[in-house]
Amino acid sequence: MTERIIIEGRTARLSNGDGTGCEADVEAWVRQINRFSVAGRGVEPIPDNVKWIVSCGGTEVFIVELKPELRRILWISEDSPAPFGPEAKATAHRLATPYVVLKIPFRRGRIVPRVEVFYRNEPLARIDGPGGALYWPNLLNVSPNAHDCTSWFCTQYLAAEPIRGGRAGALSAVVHHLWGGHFNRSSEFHEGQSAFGKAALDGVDPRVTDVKRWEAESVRDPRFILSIPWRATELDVSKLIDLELCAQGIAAQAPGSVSELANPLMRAARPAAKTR
Amino acid sequence: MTLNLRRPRPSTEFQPSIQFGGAASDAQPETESRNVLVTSGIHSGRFPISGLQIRDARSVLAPLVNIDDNAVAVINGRVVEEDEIIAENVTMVAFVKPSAIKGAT
Repeated sequence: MTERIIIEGRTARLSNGDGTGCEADVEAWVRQINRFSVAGRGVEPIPDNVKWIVSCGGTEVFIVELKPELRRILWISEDSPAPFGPEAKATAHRLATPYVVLKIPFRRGRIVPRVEVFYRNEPLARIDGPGGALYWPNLLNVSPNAHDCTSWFCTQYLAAEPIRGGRAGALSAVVHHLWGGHFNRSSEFHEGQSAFGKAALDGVDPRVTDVKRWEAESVRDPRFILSIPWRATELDVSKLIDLELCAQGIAAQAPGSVSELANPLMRAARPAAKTR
Repeated sequence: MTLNLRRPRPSTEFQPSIQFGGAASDAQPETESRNVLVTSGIHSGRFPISGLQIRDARSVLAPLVNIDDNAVAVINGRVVEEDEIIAENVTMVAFVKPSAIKGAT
């Protein structure tokens, strides 16, 4: 007696050939297939500081966590002749940052310009709930609620950087772009607001809404940065990833119907079968 | 990898560099804690570079953590020169590559 699986619409039916069988939703069945398939054998090793990699087809979403640090940050000068652009002038400051969480999406190996930046006072512990909750940063050049993102970081000029070394090289380019480039008032001009301005408007601790005070406190005791009650976004890591997948046209976590199974079947079809 | 360590000179130039957080996932065994945390872009690792000049540490670590030739060394939020010796109380050195201008122009 031959076992058969018949897929109709959103249902898969197993017939054991002896009159017994069962049926399941296609999506639930595919999730089980994925669960029992070997995964994680990527060509490249997982780069340092990466907490999650979520992939589907040509889409990959990297969640990166950078540890607290007393950084050297170039911040727009009070007497800068321009608010942004090549004429803008910056001054080096010593500024403490808490845990910094980055979402860096890729499509077919290239960075999608939907990078987002968040803060936390503790390392990520879970993908959802309080252990994965994400908070607004206090940085210039991070634009709140812009370009269909919550905490958008402009990477337009990353294209000018030579990026080598696969995903690790691309992730490094984003990290260097964040900390190695001047912070300026581009977000205020182009998107109407920066996360730094938002922090002041939201009444976040005044020790981090004025750059001189931020520096003075950082030099005195950089650990103070982990006691700041940052304002919560409505996101945790799980929701952030879901929104990115949705933005890239991935609505379902797994194929759930005959039509959604058809494309991968056609990709996998043997040449002889294609001609039938 | 074997690093030739030099005896560090006493340094009063820097306060102990800052690695804060201190959560369980950050805890390091005692031997690890004697190493210096080095970051470069997405890369990070702990290496026995106390007592080395920055240029020597850079030379040894460049292929390990992809340090760019143009990256500056930062200790405690300050750029340090290539001939600076990494003092024993320094716990972190960041190599930061100057990057393209942020935002639209």
